[in-house]
Amino acid sequence: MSKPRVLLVDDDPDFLVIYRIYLEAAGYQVDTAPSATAGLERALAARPDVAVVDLMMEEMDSGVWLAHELARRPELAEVPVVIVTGVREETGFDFTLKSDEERAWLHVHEWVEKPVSRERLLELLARLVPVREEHP
Amino acid sequence: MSRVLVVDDEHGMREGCRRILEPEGHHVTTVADAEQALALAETETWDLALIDLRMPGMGGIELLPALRERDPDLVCVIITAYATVETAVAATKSGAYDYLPKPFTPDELLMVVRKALEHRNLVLEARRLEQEAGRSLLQLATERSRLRTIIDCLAEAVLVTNAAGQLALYNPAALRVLGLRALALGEKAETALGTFPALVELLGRAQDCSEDMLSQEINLPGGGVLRAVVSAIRDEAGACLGSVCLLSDISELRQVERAKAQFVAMVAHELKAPLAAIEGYLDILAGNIGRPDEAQRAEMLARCRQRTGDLLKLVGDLLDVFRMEQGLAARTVERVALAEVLAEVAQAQEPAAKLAGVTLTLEVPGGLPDVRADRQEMVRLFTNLVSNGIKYNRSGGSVTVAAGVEGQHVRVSVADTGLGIPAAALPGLGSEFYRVKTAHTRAIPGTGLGLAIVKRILEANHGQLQVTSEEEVGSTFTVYLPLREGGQRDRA
Repeated sequence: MSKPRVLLVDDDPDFLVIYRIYLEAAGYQVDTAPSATAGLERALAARPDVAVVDLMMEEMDSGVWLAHELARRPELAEVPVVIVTGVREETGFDFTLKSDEERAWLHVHEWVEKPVSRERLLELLARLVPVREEHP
Repeated sequence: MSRVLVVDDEHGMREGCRRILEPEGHHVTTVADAEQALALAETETWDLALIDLRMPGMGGIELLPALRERDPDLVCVIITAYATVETAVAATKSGAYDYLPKPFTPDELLMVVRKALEHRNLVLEARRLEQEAGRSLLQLATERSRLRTIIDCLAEAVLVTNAAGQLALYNPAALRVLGLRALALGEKAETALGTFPALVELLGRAQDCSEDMLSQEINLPGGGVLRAVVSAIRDEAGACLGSVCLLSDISELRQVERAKAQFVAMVAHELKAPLAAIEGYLDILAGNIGRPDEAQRAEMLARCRQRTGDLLKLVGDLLDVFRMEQGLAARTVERVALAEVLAEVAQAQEPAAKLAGVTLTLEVPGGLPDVRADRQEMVRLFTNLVSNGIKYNRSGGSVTVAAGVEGQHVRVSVADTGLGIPAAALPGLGSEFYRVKTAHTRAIPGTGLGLAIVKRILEANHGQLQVTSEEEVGSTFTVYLPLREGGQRDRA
């Protein structure tokens, strides 16, 4: 039985701990990285099934940068990316991801308001990568 | 009491008149000929002159205009024994008000005198009214120019249009806020103000006075924002005469509002992250999610406590920023011995330095002059700088606080041997919640308000801050405070 692998990228160490506990308790295998560049290294080292990425880390848009870096690597291009952010407060931008164009342009599958509740996080991941008995 | 002059060459006539008029309360002066009358007129005035037509020397017909030349309002009555139509006409032509034929009865005299004096009162009243009218006309003219001056001096821009939508009046402020050199009076608003379609549209809506007041924000082509308030002008009967439009430049206000909204959003964000972390830990502990063991539970509680402490510090810093911004902080500007302040700060920061493995050194020469400042603010200022120097350092590093006099300033530098600040990040220093994010700074707790507070304290104390930094080598924050009060007034 292989568990789906989630990559958590956040520069707030507490969120890494908290989300890891949520996800491991729900049957996911969790990798963490404290920055976008470290996140890319982790993703290259151990291909995740999904990435949950904070938007603002080293830069204002580190999360989107990481999504692009994943998208341009064939082996990682299919990894769905969830951006977690208080984006309206942080940047003043209001991405809704309502259109496919927006999704494609940002290479982001979901855009969720921070903080994400445990229920919301699990519901989101269940949709993107169901916990399966058999994992390829 | 009226003053009456009697000019007659007959003694009996003069005395007769006196006897009839004086009992009626008139003051009577009598003279025997025209020459005496003219001589007396140099020093005296009368309400009424009774003048004999035929006298030796100058006659009444010649005397009359001579007297009226001296006093145009003098009422004259000609007394004549030759009561004919010709004499009456001649008398009237020479300026007489009436004539009295000889011989006359006392009643006839009194009646003529009463009538003449009534006329005199009318003349005087008319004269008074005329003078008054002249005065109020003058006042009116002054009032108009005063009003015009006031309108021209208003900081608010004024535009007046008439009922036909033509520009009727504007003041210099209108040209200024609209960025125009001139406006053509009498032109239609849409022609004169063609480059401001929103304003033209607003004036158009106000033109028929259907609304008493309209207000709207007008975005200027250059990026500014005006608030336009248009009021209907109606006459006393309520008919529409046009409209008056006041324009005020609210660009700066808008910018301040935007900055405030941004600040509130940032504060909300900064408060939310630690709260969410605490909530997450509490959920895990309460729900026994992932079944953490004792050590893990203790670690989570320690993190909760840490983040609660961070939150409290953030709220404290926010209140400081707010109080300084509002000028609410009770400031006491006094002579402050900086050497004392620096020693105090160093002592308070020593434990933190020890914990971080950083050597804290104070290089303050004896006789460092006092500055005029708020002591509490000085303590806060150097505490923030020294605490930053310790936090953003490395184990085995140092923080050196050095002071000295440079020109008209006391200079205090806080130099660390820490991480340094990337050149690209330097301009952002001092902005609220701006924290330099690198792999090394991630683990360092901070509110992002420390330098913002430093900046505000320096502004309030006419000081300046200079930052030099090299990555991986260290940063030096140098503060300049004026030696004498007002030494930096021109820069304040």
